[in-house]
Amino acid sequence: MQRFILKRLVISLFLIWVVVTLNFFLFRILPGDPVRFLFNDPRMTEEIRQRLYASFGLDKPLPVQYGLYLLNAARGELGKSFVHLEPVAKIVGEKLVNTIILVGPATLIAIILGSLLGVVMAYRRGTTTDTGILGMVLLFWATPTFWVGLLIIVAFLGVLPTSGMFAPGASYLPFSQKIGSLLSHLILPLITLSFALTGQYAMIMRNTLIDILSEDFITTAKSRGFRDHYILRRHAVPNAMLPMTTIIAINIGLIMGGAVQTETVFSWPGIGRLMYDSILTRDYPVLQGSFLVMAVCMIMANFIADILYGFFDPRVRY
Amino acid sequence: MKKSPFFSTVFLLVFAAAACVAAMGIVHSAAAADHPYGGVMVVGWTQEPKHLFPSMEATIQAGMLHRAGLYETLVGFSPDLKPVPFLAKSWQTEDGGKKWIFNLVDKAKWHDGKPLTAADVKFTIEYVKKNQLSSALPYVADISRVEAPDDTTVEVYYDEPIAAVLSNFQYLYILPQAHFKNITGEAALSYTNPNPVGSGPFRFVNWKKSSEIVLKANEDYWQGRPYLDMVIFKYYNNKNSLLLALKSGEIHAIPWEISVIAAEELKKTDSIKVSVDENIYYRWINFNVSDFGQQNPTLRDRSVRLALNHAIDRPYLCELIHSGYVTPGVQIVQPSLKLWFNKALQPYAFNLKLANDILDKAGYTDKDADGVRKSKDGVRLEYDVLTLQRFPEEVRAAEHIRGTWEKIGVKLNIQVVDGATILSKLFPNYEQDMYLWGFDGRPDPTFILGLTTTAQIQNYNGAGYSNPVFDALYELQKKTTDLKRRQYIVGRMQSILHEDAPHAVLYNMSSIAAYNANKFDGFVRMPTGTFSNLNAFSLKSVYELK
Amino acid sequence: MQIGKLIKHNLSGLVGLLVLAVFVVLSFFPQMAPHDPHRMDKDKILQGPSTEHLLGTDEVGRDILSLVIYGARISLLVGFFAAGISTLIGVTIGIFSGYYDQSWGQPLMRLTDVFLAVPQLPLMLVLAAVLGADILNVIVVIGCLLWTQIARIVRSYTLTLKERPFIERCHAIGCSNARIIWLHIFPNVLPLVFANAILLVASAIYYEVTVSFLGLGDPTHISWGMMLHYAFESAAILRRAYWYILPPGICIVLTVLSFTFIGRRLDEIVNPKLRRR
Repeated sequence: MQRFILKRLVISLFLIWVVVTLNFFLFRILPGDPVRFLFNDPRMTEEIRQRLYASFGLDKPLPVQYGLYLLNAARGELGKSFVHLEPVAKIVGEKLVNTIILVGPATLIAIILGSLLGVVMAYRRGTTTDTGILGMVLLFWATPTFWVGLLIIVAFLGVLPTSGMFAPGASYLPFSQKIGSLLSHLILPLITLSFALTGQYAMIMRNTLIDILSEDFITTAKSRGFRDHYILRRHAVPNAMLPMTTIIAINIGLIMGGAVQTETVFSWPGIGRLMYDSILTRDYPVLQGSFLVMAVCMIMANFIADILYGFFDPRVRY
Repeated sequence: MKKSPFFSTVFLLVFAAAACVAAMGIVHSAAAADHPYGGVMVVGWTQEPKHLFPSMEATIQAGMLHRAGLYETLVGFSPDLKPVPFLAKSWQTEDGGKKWIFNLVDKAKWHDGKPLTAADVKFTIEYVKKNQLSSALPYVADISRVEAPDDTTVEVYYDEPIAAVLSNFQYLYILPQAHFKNITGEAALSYTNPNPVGSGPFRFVNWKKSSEIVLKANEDYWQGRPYLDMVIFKYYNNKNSLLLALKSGEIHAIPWEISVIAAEELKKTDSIKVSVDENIYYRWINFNVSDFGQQNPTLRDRSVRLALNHAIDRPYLCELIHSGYVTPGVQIVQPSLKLWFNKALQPYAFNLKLANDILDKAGYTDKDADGVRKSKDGVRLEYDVLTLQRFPEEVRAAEHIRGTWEKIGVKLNIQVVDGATILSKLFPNYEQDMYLWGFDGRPDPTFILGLTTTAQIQNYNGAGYSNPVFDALYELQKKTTDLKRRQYIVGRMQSILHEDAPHAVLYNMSSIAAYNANKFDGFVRMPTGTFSNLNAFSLKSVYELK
Repeated sequence: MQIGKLIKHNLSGLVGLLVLAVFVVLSFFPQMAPHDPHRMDKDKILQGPSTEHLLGTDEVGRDILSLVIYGARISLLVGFFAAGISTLIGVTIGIFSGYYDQSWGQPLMRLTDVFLAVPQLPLMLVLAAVLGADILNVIVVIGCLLWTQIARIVRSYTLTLKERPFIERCHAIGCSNARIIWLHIFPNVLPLVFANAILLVASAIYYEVTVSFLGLGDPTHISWGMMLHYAFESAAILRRAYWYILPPGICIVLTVLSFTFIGRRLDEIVNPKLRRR
């Protein structure tokens, strides 16, 4: 078991290293001189520009830069934003919390709702119920998340808040008053993101359950006269949770894609919107930093899922 | 002897009258503060300042915060942009304009309570010069020496008299010596001023990046505290959210960035007032006329540039792209600068026949009938224009221009990029054919005319235009203090630009702002906008309507 | 009766095919559009549906129906080519990592893991931002990130194929690896790939639309994603301009769904495991 954990850990660290390196090189091949644009003032003598380069660490030879970059990344030092002139780690950290506030409940709702739909579909496979729900779920899946967001905004204009996380100034209020503002701003983006993710999870649950329902032990249980509901509840679904966990972990990338879209459309100040903003302003340190954090979260989630899987399924011993 | 009842009555009446007058006097002076104090105004925008260091700031967002809230200048802008006393209550010149004496008010205080003195002014000038702080440098570059003989007198010395002294001091924000004296060299260049200490009507409270900036009323402000208690600047990452927030009452004002469609839509809401002001801001296509040799060489031919200018349908674009809120552009010194605009200039008329004739006469023909003219050496009249992603409406304008230029045998390829990319193509080698951008002018024409001088090549001169006659006139007008003579010179310079056509000014932009007129009033309109970075009244004269 | 049964059995796939056919025809013959999509008209800004403009106009007066018809081309083009690139990469890596499982198939597997470990949309955005908003770049970026699914499927199938008797016989005769791969493995893998490639087109279109909406599409070409981007950027939402927002989105959903239905049906036919048990 120890060796299993260790092996997964090594792989995860390797993956993180690859992403960090990718980040580093991406930044170096971009066009445009972001430092110049930073101060928006071409009236900068060469000398001043060199000084700014130095303060952003852009004047050393490439291998040295790379080494420094790795060291800094390990310490959590991700550079300084071109636009905000603050440490990237600080900016990203603040926004990550906001994303979790949105993504956490959305994922939960999507998993629960999606699983329910998936179970119904798998159970009533081949009937009109299955086809009907399947059609609806595929519709969810094929609809771009941001478009759903746009439609919801147009529909609820003036009825519910459609942007931001708090009413202006509300973030300074005491918690009890703050929470009301937060919740009213959370509703619409939450609905949008849950809508997008439910489709994914419904399909996953359906496919997993179909596989399991065709296994021998289910046939045995049926032949023993157990009722369908009982079989579902006590045998099929619990067995489905395990592969579901892995597949959900693999699909965390989809959650992040969905978050970027939802946050952009609803102006929710999370890491997804941060990424969009940094693209618009070509704030490369923040763009890299937010991507890095997303990738690391995904790698870690996969790692945890693998460990859990290995923990619960004694058949898995690498 | 008994007092006469007559005298008592008269005495009482006089006393009563005096009391009434006194009472009215009290009421009247109370009426001077006739608007209630209080209220929190929320202003929304889609771009935050990069930092709050006025000597290095270049964004209008920071400009507004500095001008209307945090900092002050020696000379202010009147509502028609003329210089008026501000921190300097009066000034005199001596020595033929080579020495200026500014007399400061004596009540001004910094936000930390210390008094603002001449020493701070002297410090600011020397600090900007020594550390070469880019934004403020042009305003002090010509100063050779500054003295502060006492707390309220500043003496400024120039090697030669220059015309723009008052204008420069309208832009130079005074910094507190105590706060800045230890920040020098490299630290100064990258200083972000996270806790600004200024002397303005509002003091800084907090800045949550990409969220809000909070300012609070300065109770000890030397002109009397502003009416509002607090101003919050809230960030929205897209214009739609911003507009919706104004409509729903979540915010109370949008200072700029309102598209014309949005303006029309906002007007439908009763509580919202849309104010449209003239601006000193234009959008243009800047041709590459430099001799670095990286561009399509036909652009160096004046005839081509004239033809291109005559093939742009400016009036139609004004309607199409900006719904008539802007006016067709003429030259870089705009009509809104009433003192300086050369009224004799004929705008380039939209005349395809004329444009075709010019090109025909200059020898550009399309022998192989592929729709594109070629020079005698076979160079095609085909250009790449760089447009900004940030102005999607101008991409449409470029498409329309592409259509009209097609009719004179010119092919235009549109590339949409960001500002950093344009700047990197521009400098140092001027690799672009032309680019579409805008420029914010100043009331004094020196700045905007400087854009097309040889000295600004590799700096602000995006066309690479170099004309020794123009340069000489530029230096001359800088020093000409006689208004009529200076107007003549500036007019002549505009004519030269108009004949040489190194650029195509598309429109004179307006400043469109919107605010909730049911909740707040007291806004002061001026050219450049109700909330422009020249408007020191935009926050301090605003009061809440109960 | 045979036909009736055939249709009933393959209903979803056929419906998908029909819808797709409509869009393909539109993309080949965009001249059917009632107006020139580039024609801007200052007097018709953001107007709702009318007899002259069935789907209304956008913020510079262009006809939305025509824009939607012309936009079909780009979305389908990007979808096809991106999926094509992905399939090529996926099949190559899948075959080689399966066939050479013992030797350099392993690093290839690791490569696949790396691409699976990063969030796809964010990476596409980062790459597109760095490389520039050009249609070619968008195709390449999407194509280079969607191949993992196919690679995995092809790899596992190659692994099983490898052990089949006829391959062993080839070895015995002395066939070179290259010959075996090209003449035996590759053709057998193709039918499996075909169905997945179609599903990949659906994904590619979905991503192209999203990347364009977020501002990284090619602004010089009309595409559904860019239309929604401009709808979002201009004040169309404020105007409740549903005629601007609905049509591109509906087209996107229809296109993605049709490819999905076709792909799923083909997958069921080709992959016996998925058939009704």
